[in-house]
Amino acid sequence: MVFTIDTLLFQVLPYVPVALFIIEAIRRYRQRPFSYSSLSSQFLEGDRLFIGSVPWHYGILFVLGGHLFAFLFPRELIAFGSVPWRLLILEVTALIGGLVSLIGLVELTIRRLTRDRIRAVTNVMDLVVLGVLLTQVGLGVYIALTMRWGSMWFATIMAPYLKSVVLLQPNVDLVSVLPWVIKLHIVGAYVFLAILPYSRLVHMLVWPVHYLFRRPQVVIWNAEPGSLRSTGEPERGG
Amino acid sequence: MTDRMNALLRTAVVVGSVVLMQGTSRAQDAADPTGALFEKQCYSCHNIGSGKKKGPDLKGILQRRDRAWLHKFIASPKSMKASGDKIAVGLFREFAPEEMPDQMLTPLQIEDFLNFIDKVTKSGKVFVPQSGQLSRPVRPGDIEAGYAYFTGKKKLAAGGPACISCHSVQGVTPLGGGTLGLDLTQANARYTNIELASILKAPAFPTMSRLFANNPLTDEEVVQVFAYLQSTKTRTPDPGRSAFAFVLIGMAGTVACLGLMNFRWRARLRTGVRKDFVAQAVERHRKNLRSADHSHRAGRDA
Repeated sequence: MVFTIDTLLFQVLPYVPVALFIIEAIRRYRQRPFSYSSLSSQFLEGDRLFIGSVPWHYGILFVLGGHLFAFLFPRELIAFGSVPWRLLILEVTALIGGLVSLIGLVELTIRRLTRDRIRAVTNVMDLVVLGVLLTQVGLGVYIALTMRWGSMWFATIMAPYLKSVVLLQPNVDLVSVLPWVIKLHIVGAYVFLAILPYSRLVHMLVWPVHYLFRRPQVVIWNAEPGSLRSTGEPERGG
Repeated sequence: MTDRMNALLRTAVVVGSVVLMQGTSRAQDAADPTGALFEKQCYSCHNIGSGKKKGPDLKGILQRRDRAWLHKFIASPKSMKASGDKIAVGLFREFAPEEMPDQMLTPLQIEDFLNFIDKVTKSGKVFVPQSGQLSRPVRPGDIEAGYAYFTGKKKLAAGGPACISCHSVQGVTPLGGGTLGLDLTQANARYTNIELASILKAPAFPTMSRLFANNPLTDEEVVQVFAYLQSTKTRTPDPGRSAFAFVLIGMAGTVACLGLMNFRWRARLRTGVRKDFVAQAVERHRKNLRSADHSHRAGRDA
């Protein structure tokens, strides 16, 4: 076997982030369970959070769901896209999902970099996460626009490749002939998986399902905030 | 069927018949065992007598180059280039970025190839690959069937992907077709009819050869897709228009989505959530109080 850069990126690399992801996600949950959080900054700033967070989350969930569906059910997707008007609806919807998530993400990035309160609680990993996500979503939208029709060739080329990776028999031949932009997008996905357990993105792994069913809880201060501040001592036991 | 369709069909039938006849009359080239090997290993980049492809036309190669030099070059073009051989360096420069890979061929096989090329050259014919022959002439209905295969409406028998996944033909859908691969409008202007039929039957491009390695088109599918591509020969490709329409629709949809989100959840996260929750809690508390009071009175009356 000839060892090329493609061998490294698409045959060896995929297993590094998967191993990191599994080991580190378990280790972090066992050692620092309360760090499994998105570290919400809503209390610090709410208006621009709404403008960015809602489109970002709905957009990216739709797009990631689409990738997952194409991976799990490639034949069904190809069958659906075999009628031109259905293919166009599929592709336009996917593009809208990508654009909506990109706009939301850009807004969140601007907010994080320009608002003093948010910048004060931003660490290096947050910036790395934003950088990786911006690259990934930006590349995804670029690919959707210029290398059509993504849903069809994903189901034809990427789904068998990812399946081969999952079955521990990675077939590099399938992806080695793709344009470098798509290759970069694939590598970006592996990088994303690798940094996930070290960042606030771990909140993706814990779903607060009970929030949907529990009764609302309203937190009420019994003491005047001013009186707490004036003592200089945080209230204990309350 | 319109006059235009009739005209297209007539063109496709004539061209298909020509390809069929050419293929039949020269089938002996590819039927030769060396010819078959040439088709498999060399034809994706080299013609004999039909002009340049990714590499030079090999017609008359023995009249242009020394036999010993050819043996050395075919065995390892990269070594020849690395050694600074002027002709090798010139060829690599002329056909860049394509680079002929080193061939795993024995000297005897190379000698067979050279003799085969010489034989075709001296016969005055061009090399016609077996895969370049259509199995039958184009018939009415083939264009429509070819369109169905192109779009994926009709599945390819061996399970190969539909052409539209990566390729476009002007007018195939309102927003065009795939753009990962070449726009196939006027495909025959880029390729000869024989090459096009050959590509459909045994694609030698890196992506296509991998995708169709285990699920090639049947002879019937080759004829029908060929007929469809022939019928598009008169169209003018306009990829910019369909790309612009796609972007425009995507942007309009995005604006609509963002507007809808802002309207639907205008109170969410910004204001009022806490106020609503407190109001709900107070109402629930009052209801409980009323209920408790009602129970208390009922008990007392009893």
